[in-house]
Amino acid sequence: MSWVNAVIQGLLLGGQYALIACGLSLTFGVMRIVNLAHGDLAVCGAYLALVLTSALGVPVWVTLPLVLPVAFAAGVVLQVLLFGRALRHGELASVLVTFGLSVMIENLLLVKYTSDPRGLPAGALGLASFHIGGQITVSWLFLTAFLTACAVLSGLQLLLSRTSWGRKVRATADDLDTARLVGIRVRPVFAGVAGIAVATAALAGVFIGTIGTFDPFQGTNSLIFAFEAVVIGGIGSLWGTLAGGMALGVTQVVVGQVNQAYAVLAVHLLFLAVLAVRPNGLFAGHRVTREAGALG
Amino acid sequence: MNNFPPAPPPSLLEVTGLDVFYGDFQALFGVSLAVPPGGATALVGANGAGKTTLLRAIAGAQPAAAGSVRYGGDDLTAAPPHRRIARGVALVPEGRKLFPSLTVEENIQVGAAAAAASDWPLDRIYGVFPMLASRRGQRAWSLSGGEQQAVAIARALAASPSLLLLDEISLGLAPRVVGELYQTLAGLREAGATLVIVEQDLRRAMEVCDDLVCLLEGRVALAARVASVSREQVVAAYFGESSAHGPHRPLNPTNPVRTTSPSDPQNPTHTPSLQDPQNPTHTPSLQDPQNPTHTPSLQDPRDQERGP
Repeated sequence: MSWVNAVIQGLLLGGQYALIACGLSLTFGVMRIVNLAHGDLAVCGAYLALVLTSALGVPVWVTLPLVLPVAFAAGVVLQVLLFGRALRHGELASVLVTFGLSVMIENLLLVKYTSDPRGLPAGALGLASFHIGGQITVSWLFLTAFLTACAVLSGLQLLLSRTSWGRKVRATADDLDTARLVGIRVRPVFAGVAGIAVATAALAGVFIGTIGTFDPFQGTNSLIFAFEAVVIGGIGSLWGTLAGGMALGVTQVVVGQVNQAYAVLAVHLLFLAVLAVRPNGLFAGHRVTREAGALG
Repeated sequence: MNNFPPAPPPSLLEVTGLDVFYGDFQALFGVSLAVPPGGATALVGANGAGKTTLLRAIAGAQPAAAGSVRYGGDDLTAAPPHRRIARGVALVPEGRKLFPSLTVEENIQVGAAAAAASDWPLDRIYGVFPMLASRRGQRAWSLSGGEQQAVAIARALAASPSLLLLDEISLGLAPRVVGELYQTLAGLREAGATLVIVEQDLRRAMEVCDDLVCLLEGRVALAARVASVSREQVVAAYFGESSAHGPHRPLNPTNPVRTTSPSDPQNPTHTPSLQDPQNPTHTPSLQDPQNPTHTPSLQDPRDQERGP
């Protein structure tokens, strides 16, 4: 029964990984940017929620209608002013720019908020839980994070597959040059994608801060897990990202059940093993064949 | 003889002195071109002559270093592709360039992204390409070559163009399929569209079009009404021989095309070394739809495009 519990807890944890990873997946899939500042932007979201919740004296969840639009706008501005310009100088330039942004954000946060770990008050939700059977306890907060991740990923998937905006995004991801040629204005498409990516990162940051603690350097740690979820799931595939996050979470909790010291190491070993055996990710079969076809 | 030739109609598209570069490499040298409304202009020339570059420059995908592109009186030289599409210029790119993760219908719909009008709703497009209606939900890459080409043309039509630029639409397709596509184009002309067609098959190009522009190494070697030039003159311009209609070009003694062979006394003006003995009136580098086994491009295009 404790193993079932471990798997359930792992899946719930995986939802959190997927939530922070989906923006990374989207950014890479559409704009071919590996945003190394993605985790730091998530942490910025957590700090913003912290500032707002203490300034306004409202629960964390009430700050989301402010945090998410601000994060979206930040993503748009970053894309227009920074990433878009960097992309014109090749993929390496964009990686370097996001790395620089990451270092800058971490140090600005350090100056402003010190390196003390902070937490966001979860209120009653933080302590509430329910039981399945005798031994399985599910935290409502974990379940909320998991369901939010599923809702965000489903919403993104619907947005991409059912709307005319999503059609333009997918066309742009397929073939930038031809997308321009058929009249798609790719800059607004990129800006929208970047806005969504940063908004989802901020949302993930708020959950990170509510479930655990965060400090200015939390972003790098989050980025590694997000990056691994994206690569395991297959780059550019949102459902793959969710599955990748869950694979990470289950591995972490199940191994942690045996020996807590090896839990995080096991996650990185899983990542290494997937890279060695299926470098395109576990769920990217179709997409990669397709891209090879387009390139060949 | 006509003593009072009709005044040439005002041009819909007017390209003047266009220079285009890829990095340091200059692909077009002062190319000028005028396309009257409602007409069809064939753009011919050897591989690398600059045909695709010229179409891409007209569509806005390739910046002009010098010269101008005017359309319906407006200067579009610096306009991005979406603005040119809004004005009515749509390109069917070489190699079709469909979006592989989009369905057939989505590929067509995406073409309307910058359209200023909706003269071509999906119903009308499916009326022109009925075979696409039943495949609208399929991924574009699962279609045959001819169907993919139809999707590419349909995508351009969705932009409600008044000028359609078509880049090698017959590449890799069976002659029957090419015939059907050209029938469709004839229908589009009747509906008022103006066409600029890049076509390797010189005979088909001269059959379908009213005007002909031959490019040679990035320059216009010949520009004339199809009715007023002979195939020999076009072939001469194509291979860079001097022509009464084009600028005189110096002969290149190292060009193997120019070596004369005594084995072909019937066609002294042709390029005998490249001649197909079964088709003395044709140069084999130009596609002959009646000799499908002679044209290397007539394979299943999916073999070429899926790649390894």
